[in-house]
Amino acid sequence: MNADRRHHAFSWLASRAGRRYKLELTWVVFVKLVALTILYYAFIAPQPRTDLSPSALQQHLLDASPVVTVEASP
Amino acid sequence: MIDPDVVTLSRMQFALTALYHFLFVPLTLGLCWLLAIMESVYAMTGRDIWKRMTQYWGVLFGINFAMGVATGVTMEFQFGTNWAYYSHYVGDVFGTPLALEGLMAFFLEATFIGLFFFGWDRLSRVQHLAVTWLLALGTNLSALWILIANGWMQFPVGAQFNLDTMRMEVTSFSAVVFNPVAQAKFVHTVSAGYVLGAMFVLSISAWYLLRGRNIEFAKRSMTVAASFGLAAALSVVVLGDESGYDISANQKMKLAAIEAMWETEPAPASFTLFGFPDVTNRTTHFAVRIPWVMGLIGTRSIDTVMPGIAELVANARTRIQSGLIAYSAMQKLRSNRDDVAARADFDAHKADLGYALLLKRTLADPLAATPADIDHAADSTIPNVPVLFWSFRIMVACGLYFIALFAYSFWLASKRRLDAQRWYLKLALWSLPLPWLAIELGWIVAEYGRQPWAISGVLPTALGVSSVSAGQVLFSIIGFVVFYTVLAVVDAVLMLRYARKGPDGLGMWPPPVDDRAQEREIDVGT
Repeated sequence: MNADRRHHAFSWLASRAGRRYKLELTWVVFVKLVALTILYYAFIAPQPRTDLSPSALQQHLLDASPVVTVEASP
Repeated sequence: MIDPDVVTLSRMQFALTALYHFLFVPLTLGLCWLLAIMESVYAMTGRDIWKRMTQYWGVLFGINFAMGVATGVTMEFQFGTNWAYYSHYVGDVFGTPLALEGLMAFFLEATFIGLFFFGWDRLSRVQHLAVTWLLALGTNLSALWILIANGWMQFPVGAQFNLDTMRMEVTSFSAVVFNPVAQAKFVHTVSAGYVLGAMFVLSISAWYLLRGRNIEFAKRSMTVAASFGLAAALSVVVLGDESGYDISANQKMKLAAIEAMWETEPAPASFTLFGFPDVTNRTTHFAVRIPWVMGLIGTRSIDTVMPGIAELVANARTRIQSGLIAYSAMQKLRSNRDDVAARADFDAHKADLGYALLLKRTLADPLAATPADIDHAADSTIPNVPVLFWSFRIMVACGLYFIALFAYSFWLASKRRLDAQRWYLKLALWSLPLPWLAIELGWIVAEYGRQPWAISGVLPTALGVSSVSAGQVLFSIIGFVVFYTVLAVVDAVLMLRYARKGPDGLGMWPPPVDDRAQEREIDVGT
């Protein structure tokens, strides 16, 4: 019983150092998500999309001179 | 033909992101179990120091988790941009475990990590303990699914090629899940993560003892790390042996390359402890061999022959010729779906179709291949022998060193002499990077050893790349390198700052004076 009360007695995250830790990690995750979004729109989204229809796959695997159509990303 | 620059750059980009992502993953895999063990002691004894230990190592766990989470997302970006043909060709098989991994990682793991950090004041002691164990379980389950996906790339079972959709399709999901290569790979990989988690706690605690700080805190942490680390280090070696046994059955070329076994030896084969593999002359200079050992490890028998590289190349040559029959049949079936003879040829030789596709890397039309082209394609099934040879040996040497270090740590802990020898504490501190090195080398052995295949025996890596230009891939590599470099710097700064502050600097331990009085009450009570 006493031990149970002790469990609730102190939370490090509520301390000054704990609040700073929470803030720093929140910033890290937020900045990372923003960076990933930028990365996606700057480097990934502009890349052309490969045609993956069965006929295009047949061309890719079977044609002597594969000509693969590339569509611009929407 | 396929642009080799696109293949090389796409492989480089995937390797860089995978190796970077796997700096974080194994620490999460290992540290979560150490948190669960520490909190279990707290739940059983009620002693506050064990709660503080759980919270403090949880702080470092949180940094690692926050920095590591989503660093693997860029690999999934690449499946779309650089590996579109690969994704289509094997997506029916590969996609399901990948999606399950995402569910486990983002839903289960992320939910419990939130409860772990914010539940201390809201959950009972037992409830919080259950959360910590579920966090550890969820973390490891997410690793299971990604390793099932990877295991299938090493040993593709439970799927077959569909001529109509032009891709591999699942025929038995249970065969994919219970793939012996995937299972052995899973336990070996997570055990390596446990070693890293234990070394992380051991090394940082050793630093506190060297500085004369957080003595009781560090000794307890080292005791847990030494016990858990010893069990994990022993497991890694035993489970690595199992993984090697699977490779000897399913990826013979990889094993022959790891051993630089150029020619087939009489059973049981010897193990090359040391040497300098010479790729040009196909020999190993200054080889130091231990008789019988490789045969016993690889086949678990004294009379099973392990094929050497030359024999495996000859087998590949035969399979390329067989695959060309399937390839030719596919061409005929393309123009006439009802060609019964072509269908029969295709069914008889479709298992070797991937070998014929090896020719597509250098020839526009594989059916025009000369014997020299076939020889060249067969030779290309040999992975980079020196890289595999040395990566494997350094990894194994690290593994044996971990057993020795953790065994000694365990002995010191049992004698309560963890802080008695400064050389030992320095050794423990400076050993911190080694598990990372061993783990990354392990991945190099696994993935570099699979080359030239994306899916062993099924899809050559070169045929999996998208129809993009080298410039486009290079452009995105630059973006990824900048992103990951910034993350690495932020991670190192945060991790070092919180490790240096320690439980005393963060106000976690020793507890405030009134709390210490209560701690004494609990100690008397328990």
